[in-house]
Amino acid sequence: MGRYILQRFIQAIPTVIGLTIVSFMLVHITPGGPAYAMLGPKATPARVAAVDRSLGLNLPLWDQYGIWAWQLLHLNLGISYFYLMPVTTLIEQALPVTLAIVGISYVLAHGIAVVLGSVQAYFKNGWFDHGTTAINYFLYSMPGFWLAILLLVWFAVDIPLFPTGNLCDPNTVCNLGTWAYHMVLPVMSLTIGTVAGWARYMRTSMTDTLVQDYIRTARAKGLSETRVLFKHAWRNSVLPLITLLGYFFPTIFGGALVVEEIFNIPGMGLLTFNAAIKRDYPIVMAAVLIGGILVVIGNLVADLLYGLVDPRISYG
Amino acid sequence: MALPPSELTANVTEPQLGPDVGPRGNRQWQIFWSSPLAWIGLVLTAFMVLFSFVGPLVYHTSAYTPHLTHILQPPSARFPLGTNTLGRDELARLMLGGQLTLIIGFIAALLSMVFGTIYGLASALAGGFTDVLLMRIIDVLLAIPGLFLLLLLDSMFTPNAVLLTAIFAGTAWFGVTRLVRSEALSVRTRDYVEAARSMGAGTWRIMLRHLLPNVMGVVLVTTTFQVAGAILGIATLSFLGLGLPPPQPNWGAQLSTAMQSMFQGAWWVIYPPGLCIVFIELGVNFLGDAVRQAFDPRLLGN
Repeated sequence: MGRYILQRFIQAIPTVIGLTIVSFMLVHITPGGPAYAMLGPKATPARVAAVDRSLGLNLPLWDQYGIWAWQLLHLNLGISYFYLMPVTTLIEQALPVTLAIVGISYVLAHGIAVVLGSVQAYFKNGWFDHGTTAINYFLYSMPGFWLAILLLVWFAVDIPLFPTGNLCDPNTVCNLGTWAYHMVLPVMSLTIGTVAGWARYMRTSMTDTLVQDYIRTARAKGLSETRVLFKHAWRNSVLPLITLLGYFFPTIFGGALVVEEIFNIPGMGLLTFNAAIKRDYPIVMAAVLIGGILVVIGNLVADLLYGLVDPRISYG
Repeated sequence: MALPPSELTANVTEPQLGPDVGPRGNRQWQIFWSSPLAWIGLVLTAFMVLFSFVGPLVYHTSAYTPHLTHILQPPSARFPLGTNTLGRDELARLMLGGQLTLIIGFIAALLSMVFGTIYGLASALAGGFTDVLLMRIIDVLLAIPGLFLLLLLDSMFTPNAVLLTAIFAGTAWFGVTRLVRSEALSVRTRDYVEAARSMGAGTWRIMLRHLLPNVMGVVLVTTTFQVAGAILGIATLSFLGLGLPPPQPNWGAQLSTAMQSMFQGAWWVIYPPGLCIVFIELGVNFLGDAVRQAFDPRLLGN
């Protein structure tokens, strides 16, 4: 197992190096530099050249990449052009917020999807199964941002149960309680869409499991139906969902961006969005890189979890 | 030795009677057309296409004229779906918004299919170090959250329809490539490909005549779902203010304008654009599921 982890870790290194190259290239080979965004209508070629010089953008691309990558090795992500703060500081503030939204939604969605899919499979082709499938199709086809707007209109405007945005009110004290209160709608938006996709997989997987021989054996032994379901069937049917954990990670990250934008939550999504529009290169490069690395880690963890849950897979 | 005529005809016609024999493609299309999902999907998709393209021929109100005395009006005889915050007719804007969304969505999915298939086949055929390198590049590109990638590319240019199509196609083909490659790898080692190679067939001939027909199922399935992905992507980017510049209407952008009038209870600007997106997404997703049932070899036999 230890060897396998090490092996997978080493395999991930070229991907991460590739990510640094892609995130650097994406920002640098596209037209329109940050100088234009900073100077606005006052941009003259001389002023643009001066700004480019001060930011080191006049150096050959290869040198710029070298400088950036060398600093990266020292965990220095540069200074934001617009906030004039170290990018590391900005990300230290924003990343935990996004990880919290994504993490909570992930766990909730997983839990709900497993229960929903299992019940569907157990009462296959019954009214509950068909009803849930129909609703899931609808929710799955619904754009995340529309769902978020609807939740906002229903539960924050029409019935003012929850705040319309931000992480806490400016004139009250911020604590875990207010934070959780502000998180309800964003997390709901992200969870509902994810459940719709996952419950389907869970239903298929549970259906396949319920017809296996060992389930029949368990029933024949006289085990109670709950025991058959939760001890025998459930464990095996969750397996495919674990692989999906890694697969859905990039999608959920994208979803978080939209949700943060709608609820004005200062997470990575909002930071990246604003930086992309203002061409704040250091932030954009860092965000793409970190997003990519998190996805790589997500896939790695999914792989390892798979081995932990499924005794048939041994990593030698 | 001459066979009696009855036996001759029996031998000729018999294979066509068996359900499993005959051209493979035909049987799969039969499965496709017998699925209710396919029909519901087709009806929904056709409805949205007609709504967007034939609708404006029947309904003549301009999508651009601002009626400044009728700002944010609820549905009425003159404006069947009301007006927005600029006094523009919502129904006309929904129809016009649908046109570009559908065109961009379908073309982007087709382009990414073509490119992804070529890349995947080339990688599988090349094998060895080239294959590893080509697939490593795909790994990296797949790791970047798609929306981040779209956002970045889009924010660096002034978007127009052609550019948006290129961006969607350019960020969607990685997934196709992976599937095509693994499918092609399993076909590549089969005997008939070896036979073709030993008979002197060139790389291109093997690719086009032997590998391509076998990966078409996978390609068709993913492409259908990519149409759904691209349409959703366009709506999302437009919602974020990065779609086609105003006054060009788009469902996503309409929802973003609708958020401004959230507190006025203007339901007619919040529900219809969202429902338009859901209808076309549902239609394409249904079609995708029907295509998958018919063409995905892993599901055959279920």
